[in-house]
Amino acid sequence: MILLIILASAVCAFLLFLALQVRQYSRPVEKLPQLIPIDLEAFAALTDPEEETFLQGNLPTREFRLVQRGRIRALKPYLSAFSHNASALIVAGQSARYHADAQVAASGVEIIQRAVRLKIWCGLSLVRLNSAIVFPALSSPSSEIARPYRLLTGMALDLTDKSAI
Amino acid sequence: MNYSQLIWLYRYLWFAPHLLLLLVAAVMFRRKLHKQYPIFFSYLIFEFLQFCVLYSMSYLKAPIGVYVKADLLDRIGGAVLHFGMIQELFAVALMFLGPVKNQMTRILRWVTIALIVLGSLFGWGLCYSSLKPGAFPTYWSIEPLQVAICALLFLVFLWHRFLGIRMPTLSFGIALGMGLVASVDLLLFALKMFIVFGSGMKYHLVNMAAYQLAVLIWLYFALVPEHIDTRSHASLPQLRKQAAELGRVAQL
Repeated sequence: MILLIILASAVCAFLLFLALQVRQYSRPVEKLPQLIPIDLEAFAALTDPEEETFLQGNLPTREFRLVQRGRIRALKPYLSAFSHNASALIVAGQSARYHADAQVAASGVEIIQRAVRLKIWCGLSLVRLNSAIVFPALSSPSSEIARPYRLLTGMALDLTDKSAI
Repeated sequence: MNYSQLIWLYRYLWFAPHLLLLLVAAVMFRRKLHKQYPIFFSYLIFEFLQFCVLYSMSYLKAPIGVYVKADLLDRIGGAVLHFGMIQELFAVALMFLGPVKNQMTRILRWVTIALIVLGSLFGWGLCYSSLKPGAFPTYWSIEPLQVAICALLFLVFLWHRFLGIRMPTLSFGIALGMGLVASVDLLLFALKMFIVFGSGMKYHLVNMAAYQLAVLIWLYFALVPEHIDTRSHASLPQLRKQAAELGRVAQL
């Protein structure tokens, strides 16, 4: 009986979800999402592995954990901003895909590809950050984030060069 | 509504959607959408052919055992094609992933298998605990697949929402129609334990009406031209600005 009630409730929720999708799909979108400015120096400081090593070496374990949790929490809004910017670029890229100019269309597809990867990267990093809040000493967010972020930097700069041609 | 009216409604709901499926296929063929959605196109043809076979068997008064087997084959074939159609829906979003596309496709395949297994466990749990095993044991094997289909469709919508990619018009229609049919089927499956549907015809009628609605949805979305988002007007300078902004944002 309980399983039946669960099934019926889940299906009703899914039908409601479908109705919401129809409503959202038919609603015209007002404007292009704007990019959020990000303080990159502060982000670099928060993801600096050397700073983390320094803190770990100079603070008692209990205090380090507290500080590290604070640093991890401070990183979350940055990742949300990156994710938002990736969404804005996906919208721009989607518009460009249908452009008559083949070069613009190709740039649009490339922007989508890179922005989608950035978006996935942000999602995965948020998951990592959440686990790092639980185990701040075991899972270092700085080293985890810095590596893929450097890769992303290269990708984004490459994209800028290509679209400037 | 008396019995003869119900019979006429039953016949209408059996014939009309299957004839409309042909119309959907014709529209797709004319708009060359069958190249983009080959599995969905195959499904339309498969369902129509199965309808012809089942109707012929019914007309020729074939033995009930043979008819049930053919019907079950139709449902299993339809369910398998549904999973293919869901892969098609994901493929549209995955094509933007470039190098990581193969990894994501592999993950998606495992998620599908996991959902089928979970759905099956849930279905068997229902059969052997609260329900009356033996009522429709053959058809109960279909319900776990419907659970998996609903879950996968939920993921399709979530995936597009997460990435911020607008679903292509027909993809949205396919997902909507499939979701409607699968969820109404599951809801009725759950409700028939609480509500007495009499001879079972009303139960079938609701299911068939949902299918009719789904086919109309597919027809509508096959006819509607693709929505092109021109909010940014796709100008090269704007794209440069956007890309430069990403570079600035990403620069350490």
